[in-house]
Amino acid sequence: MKFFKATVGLTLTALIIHFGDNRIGSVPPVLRFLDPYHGFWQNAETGNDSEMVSEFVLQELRATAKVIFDDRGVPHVFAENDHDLYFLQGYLTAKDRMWQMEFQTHAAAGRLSEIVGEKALSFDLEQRRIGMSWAAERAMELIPEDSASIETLKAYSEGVNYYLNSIEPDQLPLEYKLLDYKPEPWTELKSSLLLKYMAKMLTGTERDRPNTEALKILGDELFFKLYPDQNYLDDPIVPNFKPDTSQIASLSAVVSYSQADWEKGEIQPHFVGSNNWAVSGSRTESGSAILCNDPHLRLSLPSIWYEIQLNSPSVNCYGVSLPGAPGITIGFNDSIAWGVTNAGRDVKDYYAMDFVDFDKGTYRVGEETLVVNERIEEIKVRGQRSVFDTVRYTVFGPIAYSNKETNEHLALRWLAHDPSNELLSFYKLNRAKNFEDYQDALSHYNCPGQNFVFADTKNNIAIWQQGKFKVKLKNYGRFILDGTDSLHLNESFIPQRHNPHMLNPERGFVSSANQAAADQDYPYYISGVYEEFRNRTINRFLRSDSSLTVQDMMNLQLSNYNLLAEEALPLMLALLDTSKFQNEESERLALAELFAWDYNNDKGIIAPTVFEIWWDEFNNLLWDEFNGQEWDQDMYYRYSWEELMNSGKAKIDMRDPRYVYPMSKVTIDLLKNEPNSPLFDHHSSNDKIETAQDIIYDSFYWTAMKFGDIIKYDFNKPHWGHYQGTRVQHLARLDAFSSRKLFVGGSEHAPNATTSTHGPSWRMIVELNPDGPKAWGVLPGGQSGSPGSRLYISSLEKWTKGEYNELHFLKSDASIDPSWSVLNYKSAQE
Amino acid sequence: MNLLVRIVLIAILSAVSQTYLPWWTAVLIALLVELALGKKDSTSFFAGFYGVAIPWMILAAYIDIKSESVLTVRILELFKLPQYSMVMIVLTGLLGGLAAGIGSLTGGWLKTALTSENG
Repeated sequence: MKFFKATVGLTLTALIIHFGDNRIGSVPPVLRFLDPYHGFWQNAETGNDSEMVSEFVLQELRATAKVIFDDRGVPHVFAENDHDLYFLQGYLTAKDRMWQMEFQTHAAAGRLSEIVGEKALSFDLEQRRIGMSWAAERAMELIPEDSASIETLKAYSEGVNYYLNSIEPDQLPLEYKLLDYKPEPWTELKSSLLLKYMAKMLTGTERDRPNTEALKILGDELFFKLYPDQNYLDDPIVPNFKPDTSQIASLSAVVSYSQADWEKGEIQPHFVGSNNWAVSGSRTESGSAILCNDPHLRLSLPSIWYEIQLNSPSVNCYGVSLPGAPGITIGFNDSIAWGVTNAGRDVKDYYAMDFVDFDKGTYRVGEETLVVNERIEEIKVRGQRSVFDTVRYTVFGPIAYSNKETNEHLALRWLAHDPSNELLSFYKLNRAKNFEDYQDALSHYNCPGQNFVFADTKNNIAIWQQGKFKVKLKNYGRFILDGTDSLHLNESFIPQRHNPHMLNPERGFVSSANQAAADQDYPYYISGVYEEFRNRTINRFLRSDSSLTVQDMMNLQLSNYNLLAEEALPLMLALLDTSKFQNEESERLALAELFAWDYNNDKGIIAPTVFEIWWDEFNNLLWDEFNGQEWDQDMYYRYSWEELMNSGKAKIDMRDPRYVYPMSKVTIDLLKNEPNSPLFDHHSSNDKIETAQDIIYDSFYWTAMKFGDIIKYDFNKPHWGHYQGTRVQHLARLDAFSSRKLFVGGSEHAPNATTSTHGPSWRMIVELNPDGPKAWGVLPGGQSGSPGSRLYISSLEKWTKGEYNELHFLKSDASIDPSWSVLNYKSAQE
Repeated sequence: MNLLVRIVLIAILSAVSQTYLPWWTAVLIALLVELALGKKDSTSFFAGFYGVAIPWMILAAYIDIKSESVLTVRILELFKLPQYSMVMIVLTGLLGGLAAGIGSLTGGWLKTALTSENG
């Protein structure tokens, strides 16, 4: 009995140690996680009890170096050579953002299943099939050709690895403890993967499959009426740009589209937009140029950007960097400032391939039969056996999508696959002194296409849409192309000097907000997904005032002015027949809100809520062209799009309106000019021909119903800031590490392009005074990536309120506030 | 030896071991202390339980106060627990104590098994 008890005791002890120390399902190792000596408690920041000035010996450094942390935890790195500079950038970034850096590169490489198991498998498979790692590896074959680039990358990697080697397990970032895995050594390839991760995020504007589908449903005439390509190029980035193309060979081939019956495409990611502009001193009160940039991305924590100042004998630069890549992506130095917005150009083309043999080893292009290159992808899945996937590479690129049932295979030609060295562009921009340096820096930049805005302390301003873009025939790449046509292999590219750009235009400002780059004067065909309203609001503002101040620039970045509403709402109200009102109270209430509105999507008012619901309802009713014959309004309330799709009632899943809905300006023009167009007719009601007026009333009726519900139930307050419910989400979608719902205004069509999930990921304003720049900025988060740190969301409140931090651009390491902490590093060689 | 003395001994030894070694060394220490110094009464469990629960709670509470509960609240939310720091502190102590308690109980049982054979 005694031995039995002892045996039971020992077994119990062993079990409790085992289960306390290992992950069970998605539950972290309970006792290891709770252990206050090593577990999550150690990730709580217990205040600053380190010395204000401290000294360390850091063997890997080549000379002495100094890091000054300002009041917001922004490091200002002062090094005596570039190796030490980028070593310290890698080290400091890792210290604050290690988990984020690695998670993003694991995501890029399609390796999330290793961490979270089976649920990430389809995501990982997609990353492998679109060739993310292949693209990153190809870039790493080119990058070493430039010694500065590779030295920079190596020093940065050394810094990250120095951090990894110096920490004890209890200092690992919280997410590693929670998900129970360990970081692996950093490599240059991981930095390259990070850049491909950004490229994927910013080149999601292809519509090849939905367009192919829509063309079939609508027919040629209606499709090109609803999806005009170059007829809606109001207020482009560079007006009247007409480079001399006489030296450029034109494509004379007839485009061959695939005739196959394609399966429905994927739902596209949410539109990602940004603003940047620069005004010359002739239009500012101070007489100095001002440059502004606010890149809109998915709002996420840890912050997408890491703020830093980098100072060495070769550079003195301040701005935001991408955790995982050396240098500064958006910022300024002593002489210039620059910023970026997404070009939104279509740089992904799909080719339908014709495999000759059953095993898909050979395929036909023209007269030739070619052999695929197979790349076996092993996806390690946590707690399970690895999944193997064969990705077939054709001359166009990898087979990214396959449908085994219909034997359809699409090869992806993506410009991010072409070897390029974007890091060198940023390396040179960080050091640029004038327009010529900026132009030279951009020459290395291929993908994702960006609009680079520029200003310098000598009052020059410029903008350049830079990227590697194919010379295309009209409509090329809008639909799935025939991969058996060898003419597609004759590619040529638009030279940098022909990419839309301008220096010191007469109007005194340059700007971009994801609109089309050029107008009808531009000799090359361009296609993509473009903003139609935000750009015009910004330009209207910049044109209207010739004594602009920094405060005006802040007001413009924060402007919630909704030009879509200004153009659409008066037309809608004019067509609304109030004699039809059925549900008097909520209809009258909704209408009163709209009549009193000034078109600002401000947080504290109700009208934007009513308008946004109405606009969605109106579009859903109007574009029933894409839905089945049995469509009726009530079904919209009773079934989800998925159910409608599955039952065959809807032809296309329309949960994301941008999936196939025509551009808003097309819809507005239709309302204005063709209110009796057959497009307004409901296909389901056979007895009656509806006009714009009917659709307007029907959609208003549903809007008032929804609005009535919102008012009735207090939990969903009708004010726009509450209704929109903006939230900054944790990168791994852990609610506990995300922000609360924020009370903010905004609209995707307003300069302050804040939606429920997206928004300005960094607001920056730089005044380029002759004696050096002065700058302001704010992140929707903070410097630290640790949810246990006070610096995790320390700037979020300011961002929410529309306030800015004055950025401390230090001239030297001597001029500092006594309350900041200073780390002095000594090299072992000394 | 007196229960209080064993509790203090486990607390001190486990604090030292955990500075360098993983959490489960506290369980082993509870087991060994009880095996070496335990009494043949029903206090074995409590030696390990209090010897670990109390220091864990003190350290957790110290970190919680110093960090102004920033992380404690997020972890409580993560596990869908009521957002009072004390819940996390007590839970930490309770589970740590339970594990060490089973360790010391085993130590006591082992001692009984080994000594009764001799005597």
